[in-house]
Amino acid sequence: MDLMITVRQKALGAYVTSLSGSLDSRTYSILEERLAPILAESPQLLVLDLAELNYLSSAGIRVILKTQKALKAISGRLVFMNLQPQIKKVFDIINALPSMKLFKDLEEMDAYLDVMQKAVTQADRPL
Amino acid sequence: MTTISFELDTKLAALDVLCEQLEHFCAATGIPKKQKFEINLALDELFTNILSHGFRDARPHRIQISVSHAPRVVTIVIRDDGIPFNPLKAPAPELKCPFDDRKVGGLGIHLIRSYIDEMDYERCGRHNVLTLRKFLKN
Repeated sequence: MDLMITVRQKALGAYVTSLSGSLDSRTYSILEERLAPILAESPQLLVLDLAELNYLSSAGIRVILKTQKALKAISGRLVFMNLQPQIKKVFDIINALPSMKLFKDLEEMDAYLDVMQKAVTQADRPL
Repeated sequence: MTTISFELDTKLAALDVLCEQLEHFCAATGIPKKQKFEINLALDELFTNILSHGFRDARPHRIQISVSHAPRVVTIVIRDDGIPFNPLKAPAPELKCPFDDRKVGGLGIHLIRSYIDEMDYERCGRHNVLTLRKFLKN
């Protein structure tokens, strides 16, 4: 099965990447290549929407892990959304869930983005 | 008992063949989607591991797989002519530290152990023979 990727910029430094299909040893490099230019911009927030992701193997987990490390190094955040039960179980088995940030729904993401934008605006305000 | 046997090329594209074969097998035997996902993932991890580490030459090899369904148990036998490798002896990954402090290795074997109930390994002449059993609970 293939992997389809859609990237949307939600705000300055905030991206939502939606994955559809299968993230595995055949497809992980597609995601890696797609994320590279985004990570090069040092984003504050990268959301992985996994609503349509049906399959995930350790090769896919490794890309996610590398992305999380890259974001941590630039004080950015990786947040997950819409994990299907079998995908959630894979993360659970490798004990990743406790350190994963999840948005329950779009409202929670929008609220987070609002706070993020306000912080930026305030930082820009002259004293 | 229902059994299917097939061979996979030592190319990543063979994962599609694996997926199709399991699709047919699970449809014929009534194995639910959840268990199909778990069997597929375990076989994917084993196959990918054999491809990455199993061969020291660039010659094409064939990996033989048979899958059998008896009441409440699926038995899978994987046979390859790669270098001797006993996955039962592979070390467990470090899973206690936070996700983003992890090393990237060892997750595949951990997933296999979690989804498969029993594993036996034998070196038979020039072949690795790995037998997996997954019990189907109601």
